[in-house]
Amino acid sequence: MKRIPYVLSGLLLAARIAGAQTVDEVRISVAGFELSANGAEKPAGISWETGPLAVGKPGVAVFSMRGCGYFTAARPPNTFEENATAGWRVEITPLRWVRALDKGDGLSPTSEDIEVTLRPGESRPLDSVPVPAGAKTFDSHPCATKAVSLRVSADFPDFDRRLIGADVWLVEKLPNGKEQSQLQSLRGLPHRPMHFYFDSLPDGTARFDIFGKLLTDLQGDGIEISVETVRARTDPSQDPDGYHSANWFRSTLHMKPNEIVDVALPARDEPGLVNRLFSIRIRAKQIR
Amino acid sequence: MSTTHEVISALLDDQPFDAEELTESLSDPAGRALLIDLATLRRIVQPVDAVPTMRAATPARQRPWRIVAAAAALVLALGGGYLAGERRAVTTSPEAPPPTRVVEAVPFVPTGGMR
Repeated sequence: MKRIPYVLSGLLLAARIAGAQTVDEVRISVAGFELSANGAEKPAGISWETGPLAVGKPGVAVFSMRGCGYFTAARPPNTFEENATAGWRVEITPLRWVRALDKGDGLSPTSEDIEVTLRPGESRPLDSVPVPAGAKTFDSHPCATKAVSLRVSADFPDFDRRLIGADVWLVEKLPNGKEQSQLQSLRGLPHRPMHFYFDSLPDGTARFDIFGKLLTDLQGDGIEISVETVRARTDPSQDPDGYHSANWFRSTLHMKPNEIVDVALPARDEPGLVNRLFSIRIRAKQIR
Repeated sequence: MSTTHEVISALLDDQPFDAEELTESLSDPAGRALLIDLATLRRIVQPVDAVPTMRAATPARQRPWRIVAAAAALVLALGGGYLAGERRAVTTSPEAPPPTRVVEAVPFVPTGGMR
């Protein structure tokens, strides 16, 4: 699949500032996280999303942290909460942040002007501060959160009404020229994996599983589909739950409406499936 | 008269009777006529086919091999059906339509393990 780097850079974007343009469908978000006493980091339940990314059209959010790592976010002209112990001003794009409020032991750096390349699904920490000693929860219990952090991430929107439907066949070409197939009908969102798992194929004492995923991207009246297929060999007598070996295959298809594309899986020098030819056949369309 | 009737009826009904009374009754022509009438009447009202004798039911003997055979047949039927269904699931799915284009996938080795 096409992977577009989303560069959040003041220098890079300065040249484009005259003509702001939307960059694909990716969203940039800044979210708060809390680091619990057991070392696990989890979302703190607050985030700010840019919406469709307009390069050169900066947006600003103000984050406050108070008590036991409790976050709030606001848009200017609102400022930090009255009882906040730490506060940040975050700007996108370009990506700049400053910890403008710190009532604890401030750690450097307290501000950054970042050039970072994020692909969808990737993120980067911005800043982290410890929760003040002696902080209490809302119900006056000892606070189990050690620190909080802000993280910027790039991803496709979670809520997307567009729906893709795909029929995926595993086709085996038989020596007599005929075909034997299995069908899986999939539905999914653009840019989200649509997984397929075919029934096992016996071959001697071994069994082969063929599975994989589609990633789709609507482009004009067609669909770009990234196909990733795994052909894995298992020996139930040795490890019923695992695989002995596996081969990976991928292909990128630009499919027009009503097109049916056959993705041949090349034969490999491996035991089993000798002289057996398989392919993944795909027909896809936008359902809504 | 009633005694004559009773002793002859007892004879016909295969009931106990007094032989002397029967002799006395049959020595009378009216008694003999009664015997003939009753015998004729009973022949008329008796069913043509004799009622079959009921035989006492005997409890069936337990045969453990029959239970084992039935269980084995059940297991074979279930197992065979499952295997047949599994095989059919693999082979009898809707046929794939002919492709409009054929491409070849490219082998690769993923980084960071299988996802």
